[in-house]
Amino acid sequence: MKRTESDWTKRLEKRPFRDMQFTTGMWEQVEERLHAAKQKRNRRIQRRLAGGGLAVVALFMIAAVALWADPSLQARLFGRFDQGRSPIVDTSTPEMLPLLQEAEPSMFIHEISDDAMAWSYGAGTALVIDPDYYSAHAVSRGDMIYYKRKVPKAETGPGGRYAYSVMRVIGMPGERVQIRRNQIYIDNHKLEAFYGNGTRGRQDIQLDEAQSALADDVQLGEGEYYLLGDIWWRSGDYGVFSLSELAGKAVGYVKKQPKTTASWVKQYHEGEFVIYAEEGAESGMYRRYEVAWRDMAKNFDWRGTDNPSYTPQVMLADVDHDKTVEAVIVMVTGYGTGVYEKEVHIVRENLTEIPVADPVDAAQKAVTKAQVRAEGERVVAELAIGGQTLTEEYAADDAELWFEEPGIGSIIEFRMDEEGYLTADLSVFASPGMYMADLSVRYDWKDGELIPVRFAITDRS
Amino acid sequence: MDRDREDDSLKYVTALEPPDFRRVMEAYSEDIWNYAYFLSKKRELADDLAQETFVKAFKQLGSYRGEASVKTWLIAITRNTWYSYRKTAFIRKVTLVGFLPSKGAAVSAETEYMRRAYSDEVWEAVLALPLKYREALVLQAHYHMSVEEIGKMQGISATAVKSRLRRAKERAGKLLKERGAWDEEDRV
Repeated sequence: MKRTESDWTKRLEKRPFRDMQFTTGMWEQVEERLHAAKQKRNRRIQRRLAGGGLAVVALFMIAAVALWADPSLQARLFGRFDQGRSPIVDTSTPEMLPLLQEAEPSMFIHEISDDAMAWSYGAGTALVIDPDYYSAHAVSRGDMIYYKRKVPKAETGPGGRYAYSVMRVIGMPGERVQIRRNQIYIDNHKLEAFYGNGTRGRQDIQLDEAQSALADDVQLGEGEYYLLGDIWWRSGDYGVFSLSELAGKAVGYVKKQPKTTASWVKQYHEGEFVIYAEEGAESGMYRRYEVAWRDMAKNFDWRGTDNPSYTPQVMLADVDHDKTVEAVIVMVTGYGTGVYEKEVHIVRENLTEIPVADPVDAAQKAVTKAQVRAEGERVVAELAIGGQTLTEEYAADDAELWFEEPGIGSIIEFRMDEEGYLTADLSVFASPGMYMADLSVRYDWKDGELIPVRFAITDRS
Repeated sequence: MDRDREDDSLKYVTALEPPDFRRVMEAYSEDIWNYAYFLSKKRELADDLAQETFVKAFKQLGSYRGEASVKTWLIAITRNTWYSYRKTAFIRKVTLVGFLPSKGAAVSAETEYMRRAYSDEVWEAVLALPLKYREALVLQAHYHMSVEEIGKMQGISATAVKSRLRRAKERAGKLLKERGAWDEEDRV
């Protein structure tokens, strides 16, 4: 006789054990860990602000060490005592940059458009460029550098496509670069590196043509670097560049995603700015987007609802005060009865992303008083933040369960306020379901990200 | 009934103070402990898994958006924690320490104790089932989840869940018949 579903449900209805198993003692332990987790969350904000200073000091120290490790510097300091003309050796520059999964938010992709580096990187290779690398590190010999080409604007392609390219640093400031018999010498010392020789040992390469062009010695001044492509005879831009013309370091490369393997849905289009969402197996949310702005495109692992009534909202604003606009993209990530949940992403024209701090964390830390107390048949909820206090009264019967402190709810809106600052509106609750007020969090630019700087309570009821 | 409405509101809350969180979650702690026990079949592990679930839920409260009930969400966390624990030495360590080389004596002491503590003998049979069957049956019959919800949990289709449930009930039924614990009279 087959047992029906309801038989099993009836039979397994009760708890398996007679006694309660999750004891009060266990809850005490859990609460302790929750308090620890809360402390950690609050410290994260402090650390993020303090970490900036620490990071600068650390990077400065690394830069100092890198400078010292540069053999040419040592050679010049101790050269007087070196009678044997020992070679300058670079074994630390890798022959091939690492293959990365994808570019980090602060970096962008440069597609190689010439053959200058084609020993390893042919035209079409997608290099990952870190535009801020040299604001925190010194240039090292062997670095692959993203530089601004010395060509008139008219010669650069559509959207300035060929205004930048990539070559390798072979000469450092103050050095004398000499090329003899297909080999690079620095101050008469042979440069022993995989890129030090123009033929790399191959017999079939004749360098006479390139040889004549590179035959003249070059004396580098202060702050000047000698850039040369790995394929000398295809490296038309070779020569002396000053530090200000170096626009970033190539730190890796990525496999280009063929567009055909995924289908993309256009979510936003305004002029030269387009946002696509990748259709995935799961319905409800998109998890990957592509932003195309002028002639650059990049993928991001952002979340957003796939409901066509809630497509991304884009505002253009200069949030980092660099006199150019960034795209402030607000995505709806959830919605329910009368409530939206949103996330914001800010992207520059070169498609690097500016991090935006979580407003809820910051709001929690900025609260100076938060209390929900019973006064006879009334419940009084109080919240003090940013120099303002909000007090609300409710009938004790209005809710089954009251919080001990007002809870900070979800982000309901990201907007630019009247003065042009990014602002997040959060909701505050006195009990689950009992909305209290809106909390507006204004952001400003600091140390490379947007952080909350001002809080204001606005009573929407 | 009000419990459901409040749980529904939990999706609007991104962060709570620990005492408030505890008060909201206390009602679920037995269910979560039991589920942890169904999965691990070991009391100490169930203790740890259940506590771990609530700590994680606290940290992830902002990501709960009401797509499923609070109970389902918590069960999913328990489940994920269990499956990743299984892959680590944690399990081996606890198992070795809990059960000494003289396996016979130590094992039966615990199982004897647990057997006496069951509210109904049917649980013994259910717990003797292989993990995937056990989980599916318990999620349906004790936690009242639909076959679709169970499918989402276990990563299989609703049809696969139905056949898994059928097999689970067959085996459990057989075990119970052997012990004479499932009579015609019980159906009334």
